[in-house]
Amino acid sequence: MKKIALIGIGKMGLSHLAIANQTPGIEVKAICDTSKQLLRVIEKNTKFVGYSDYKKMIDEIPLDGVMILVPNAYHFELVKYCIEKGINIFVEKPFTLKYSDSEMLVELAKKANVKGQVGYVNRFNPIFQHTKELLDKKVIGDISSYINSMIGGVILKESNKGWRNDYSKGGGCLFDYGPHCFDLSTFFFGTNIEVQSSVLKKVFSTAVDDTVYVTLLHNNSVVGFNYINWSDSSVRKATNRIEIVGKKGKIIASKQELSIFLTEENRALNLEKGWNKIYVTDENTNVNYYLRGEDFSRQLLSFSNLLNGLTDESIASFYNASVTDKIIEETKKLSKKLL
Amino acid sequence: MMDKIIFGDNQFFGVNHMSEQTAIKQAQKFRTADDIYKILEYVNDIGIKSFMFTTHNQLEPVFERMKNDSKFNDFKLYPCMPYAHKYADAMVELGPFEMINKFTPGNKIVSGLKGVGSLITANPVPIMQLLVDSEMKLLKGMNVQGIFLLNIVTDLLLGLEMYELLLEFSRYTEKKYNVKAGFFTMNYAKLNDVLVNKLGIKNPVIVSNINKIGFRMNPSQEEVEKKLKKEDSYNIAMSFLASGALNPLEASKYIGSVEGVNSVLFGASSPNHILQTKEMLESVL
Repeated sequence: MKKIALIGIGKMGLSHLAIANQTPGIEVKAICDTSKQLLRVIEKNTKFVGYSDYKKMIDEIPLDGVMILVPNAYHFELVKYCIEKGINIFVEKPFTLKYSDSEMLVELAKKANVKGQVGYVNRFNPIFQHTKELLDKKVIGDISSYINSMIGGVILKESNKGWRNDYSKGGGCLFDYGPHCFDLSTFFFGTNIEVQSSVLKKVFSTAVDDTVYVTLLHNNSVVGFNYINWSDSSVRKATNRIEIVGKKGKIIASKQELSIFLTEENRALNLEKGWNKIYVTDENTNVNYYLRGEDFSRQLLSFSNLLNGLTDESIASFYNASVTDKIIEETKKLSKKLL
Repeated sequence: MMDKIIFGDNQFFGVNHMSEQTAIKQAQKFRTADDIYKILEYVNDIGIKSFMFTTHNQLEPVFERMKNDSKFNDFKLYPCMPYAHKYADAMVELGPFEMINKFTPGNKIVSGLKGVGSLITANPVPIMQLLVDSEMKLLKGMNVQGIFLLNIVTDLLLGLEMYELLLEFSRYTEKKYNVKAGFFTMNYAKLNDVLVNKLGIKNPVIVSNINKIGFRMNPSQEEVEKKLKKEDSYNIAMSFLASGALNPLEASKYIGSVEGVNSVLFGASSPNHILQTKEMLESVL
């Protein structure tokens, strides 16, 4: 059993706590949060020990790993501290708010032999993992291009208030949805990337972008258009969809369904010429404990495996996450002004 | 004892776990309260006498009409709560204290004190009770036969090992509303163990995915089947069609063959489908 603690019990923190508490191979020893009230509720009603100072917690409790779930602006400071203490880390996305910071953490973790994982939960979705497998096996041949979109209905009214309308507080669609969308692009097509073009546009917000248009070039060969929009009122919850075109077919994937078009039958994988359809119900989605979708349970099981030495590197590694931070930074720079 | 066949509400609100497209198509069919009312009339007419639903605001006008229609007198209602979006939205717009006021019925001062007191003493029980009361306002004077806790809350409490609150919920529905509590879960095996063995609840009502392909039967189909067989809880199967992944006939055959399934909760959007599914289930249950 590897001992872990959670730092930052916000909205996501509570469900992370429940999932971590039920994940085989790890044991939650303590939690840390600045809200005294929340600590009291947790201490009174659960078995977890509460701290309001993470440094004190780390000094007092021997830990194999921590989950850092604090606001994005504090990721760098906390990750750096835990690396120095030699504690393995799970940190929510995005890794940090500055590419140079992320780069530095990748190096520091490597030197200190600390293992890291970033909360890119889409990488643990069964359909996206299946898609990745098909791409690696070149089922649709060499890839020429893709269209990757993430849409949702977060900002649907004119607004000039709140942290979401403030870049300095991590607001804007690029910083909120962007990481998930770009991470999926690097998951499928690799981290050797160049940002070719970018446009940021307001719809309802006054000081930040609501829609993002980015062209990425991977390995000097695959071109991808990334379209991100958090102001689409038709969408009930955030939706990722990717359409990938290869020389021998096409793949369309979302979290629930996978469509594969092939110009030739693929006997080995039991795929027919023409359209093939796979649903999430066809995948093995069983988990030891389910709370907000199996992807989250699988994500934490992967962290447990990392801590227990069953894997050497996470598929959502610090390095992969740092590349996403680079894409975001370059997108912002390249877009020049907010339209 | 509950009916063997219970009608659900996912189709009214565009929920489908397998396909966004299916969800969109279903949502188009139910634009108004009238569309929903008509389907429930049909369901009642063909003899499905139980309806299980999340306490969406859109259902309010439907229930208003139902109250004034005597043919629904023997139609049993099973509300499932909390409809989390309602509270999440209110929390963002109003903050915690105003939210408590908005959702608490009756004497604002008393309920306000109960809520605030609960926040201060870190005891979640009074807040839970207030929320149940608030959700039940919508159904005052109607034929409510059970009150269900949705899986997002059941499973969160299960994950945090806050088992006592599950017991308190169960006690409260019996004491205040004189009906049994039910629990939705995506973790049947774990929950059954906690309710029966740890909390000692006799024959608790549990709603969980039970289907031929084992979709969302956690931790595994085998484990769930083994527990179902013990028949120490009242088990309601949902997603027996696995969101449409299975053909109805094989899906029904499986349900009929699993020991320990007492009722089936299903939803469908067209009268034809509803009738067919009902008849198929009746032949196997």
